[in-house]
Amino acid sequence: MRIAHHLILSLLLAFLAGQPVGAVGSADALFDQGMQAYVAGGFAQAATNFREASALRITAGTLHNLGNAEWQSGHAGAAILAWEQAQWLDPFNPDTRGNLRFARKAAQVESPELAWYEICSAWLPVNAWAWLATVSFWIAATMVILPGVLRWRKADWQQGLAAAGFAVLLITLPALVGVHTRAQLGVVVSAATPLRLTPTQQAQVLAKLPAGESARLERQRGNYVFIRTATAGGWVERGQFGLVASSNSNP
Amino acid sequence: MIPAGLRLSAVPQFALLLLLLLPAHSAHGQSPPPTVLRPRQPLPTVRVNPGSLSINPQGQIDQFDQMVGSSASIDLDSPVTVRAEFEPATAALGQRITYRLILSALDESVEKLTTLPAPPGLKLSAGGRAQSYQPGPTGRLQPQTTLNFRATVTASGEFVVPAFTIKAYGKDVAVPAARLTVTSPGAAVAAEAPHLLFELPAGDIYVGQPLRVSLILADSADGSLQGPPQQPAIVGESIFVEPQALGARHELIQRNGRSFPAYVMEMVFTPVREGRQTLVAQATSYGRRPVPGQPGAIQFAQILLDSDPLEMTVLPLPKEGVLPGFTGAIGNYQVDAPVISTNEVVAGEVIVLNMHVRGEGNLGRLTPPKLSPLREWMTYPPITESAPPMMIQQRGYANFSYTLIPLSDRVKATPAIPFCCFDPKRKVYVDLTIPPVPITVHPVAAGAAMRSPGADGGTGGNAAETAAREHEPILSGLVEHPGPGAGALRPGQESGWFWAAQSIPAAILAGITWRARRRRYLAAHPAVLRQRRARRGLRRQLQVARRAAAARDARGYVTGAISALREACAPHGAANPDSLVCADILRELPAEDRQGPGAEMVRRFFAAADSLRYGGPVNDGAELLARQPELEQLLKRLGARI
Repeated sequence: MRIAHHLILSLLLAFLAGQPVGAVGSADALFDQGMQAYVAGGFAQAATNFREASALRITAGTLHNLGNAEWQSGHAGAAILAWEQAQWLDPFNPDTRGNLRFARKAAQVESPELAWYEICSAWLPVNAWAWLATVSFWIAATMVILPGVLRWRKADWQQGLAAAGFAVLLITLPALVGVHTRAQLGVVVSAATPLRLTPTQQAQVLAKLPAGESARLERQRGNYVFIRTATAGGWVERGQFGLVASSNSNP
Repeated sequence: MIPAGLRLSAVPQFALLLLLLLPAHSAHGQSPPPTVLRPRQPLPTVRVNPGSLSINPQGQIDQFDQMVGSSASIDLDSPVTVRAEFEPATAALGQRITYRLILSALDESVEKLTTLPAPPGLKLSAGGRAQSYQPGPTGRLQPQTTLNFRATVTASGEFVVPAFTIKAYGKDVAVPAARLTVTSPGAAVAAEAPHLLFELPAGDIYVGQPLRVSLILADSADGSLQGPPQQPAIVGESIFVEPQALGARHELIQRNGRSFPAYVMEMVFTPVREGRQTLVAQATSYGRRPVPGQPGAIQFAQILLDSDPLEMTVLPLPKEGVLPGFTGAIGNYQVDAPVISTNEVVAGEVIVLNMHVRGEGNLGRLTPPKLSPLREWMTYPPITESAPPMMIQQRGYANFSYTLIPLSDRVKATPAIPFCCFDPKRKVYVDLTIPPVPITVHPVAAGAAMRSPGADGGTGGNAAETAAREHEPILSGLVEHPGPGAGALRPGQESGWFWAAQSIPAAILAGITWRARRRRYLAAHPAVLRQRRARRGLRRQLQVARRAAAARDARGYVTGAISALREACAPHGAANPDSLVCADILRELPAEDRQGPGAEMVRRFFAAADSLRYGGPVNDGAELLARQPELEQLLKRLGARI
């Protein structure tokens, strides 16, 4: 009976997390294998394991370790991208933040320039703002609608709760905009990536971007994406640029 | 010391003046003020080698400089003379010919010749260039710079390099004309001039690859050269040559199908730039030379020997496949298992990890990989041996040591140190990562402060440096747990499920609203609730009666039927169904049933129920069961009225 309860609970949790139970188990196994390979000095193997684990189940810890393994493998761009993604999910981890500082200093690349609302959006995990906005909106809406519907006597706490809900909602709106614009941030993953004038192979090369350079995605065309760094804008090949909020964790 | 602009060289008078002035200061018994000399005109910068006189601020002559200055007297005053010659002056077509300029000037003062006024049919290309000191006519040593050029002719005949000028010490110096006679091939001419043989190793050559080459000088049987060659060197545009030869030997050389005794010197040089460049090997030796101006007279003099120019193509290192920890090591190396000073320490104590590299390559100049800063380790830059590179090279292995301090008792092994080399033969990067060594780190005893690595002055630094180091970003270790999963990296607000999820609270709120309104409606219309309850009760009791009839259970059938009749009639009287009696039911029957068989059936059911209530048998049970369709018709009619 207890086993059945556990099974049902696992299935329910996996369903809620949107992940198959088998995927969770194999992701953990790959995570452990990556840890062992990293400790043994097999950084390339560790990076492969962490990447596969991340493809099965994206977690901040896996992405953090993926960044470490990529950095030790000499892939500064991929490492910075993985740490950015880890920080995107968990901005409270000081190790990830320190690694990003370390890597950017070593690779001599700058952090992306963020607007004030983007800085605000980085205070909490990326989805926390959306949920906060949701909860605050519905609390406010409930406090406005329910007393009338249920014929409650108007009370100060109801109006206070509604006001607080709307206030929190207003605060979250800039952060939501910041999350939306930060979703277009990315990292150049290949060293000496040519920044082209037009989205063609024969295009004039405007500059060579170092691995780890941050840029914003503006538009896409075929196999090329138009990105804008702090100093220049141009087209790069899609595979040489990884979005922090990409649909998968691999660049 | 003398100011930099006053490097004494060809200004011995100036130095003498200084020497004369110094006792005057000393005579006053005071420490003389620093001597500041400001010449009004720029002095010619000619370096005296070896050494230059220098005077310290106290006005005393540097003892070392005095010793060096007294060891030799260099003649830099005599006019520069130039000698130009072909060797041999008469050569057969195809024979090796050297055009040589010998100047009595320092090498650094002689300009680099880019073009020479060669006549048509004669091509001169740069060869060796060296400086030596020879006894001059005044009895002092005279610098002698020799410039060799490789002469190539395409036809026999007379070739004259006309007189021209060359700059030495910034002045024009006349170079006399030189004559070369080239005869047809096979004609009896002088023997070929001695020269060096030099070949590059087979295979591709990469930037930074140490190349070990042999310089070969044939031992002349006729005694034209005396002793082994000196000052071997390889000259090129962008190469780094180890200052010392690895060794010289005399052996029998097999070359072009013949064997001959030769001097062999091993040298190592490293190309530092990719692309094509020309190399020339050179060395000096003593040999017989004709005395200028005395036909037939022979003297032994130091001569510059060189090799034919060699074209070398240097490739860049491949960018693909570079492994972590590449520090420029090119060759075939192996790393032995690392050795640590101890494998059991207390957090904060020092561990020394020794690394042993052996193999083929430039071991003497190998750069050990640096260890990235780690959160749980205090690391220091690797320490290389202090032995000279040539000694390490000849020994065949190099040692490096890492000073590591574990900062936590969670550490289980030394960190892996990424390292790799490029193997030019296989043309791949080879992983030489130094593996971790298991260690046991004990926690610091309670009450004992962990010794700060910087506190003992080992790494030096004051509080500010320590604080700066603490704020220096470092690479953290791994996270031990993956943490909670996230569905995707895309923001939730941009996903469809997020907006779909908003329908849940909306639906809840709408439900609450509907329910509240419905409740108010029902409160205003209680008959609706009674009717609903009656319909529900009628269905339930009718099911009971049917099940009992199917089981031929007269008692259950009668009970169910009575309950169904009560449920169907209760709403009309606004009464509790259980409180209704037969008369109440009959009153609620449709008008056509009140006097007919319907009323009679109801009475019989109630009579049977009364009998049951008082413990008697069910009267007419079989007949009542047989009237089930009639009962259901009645109930249907009653139900339609609810």
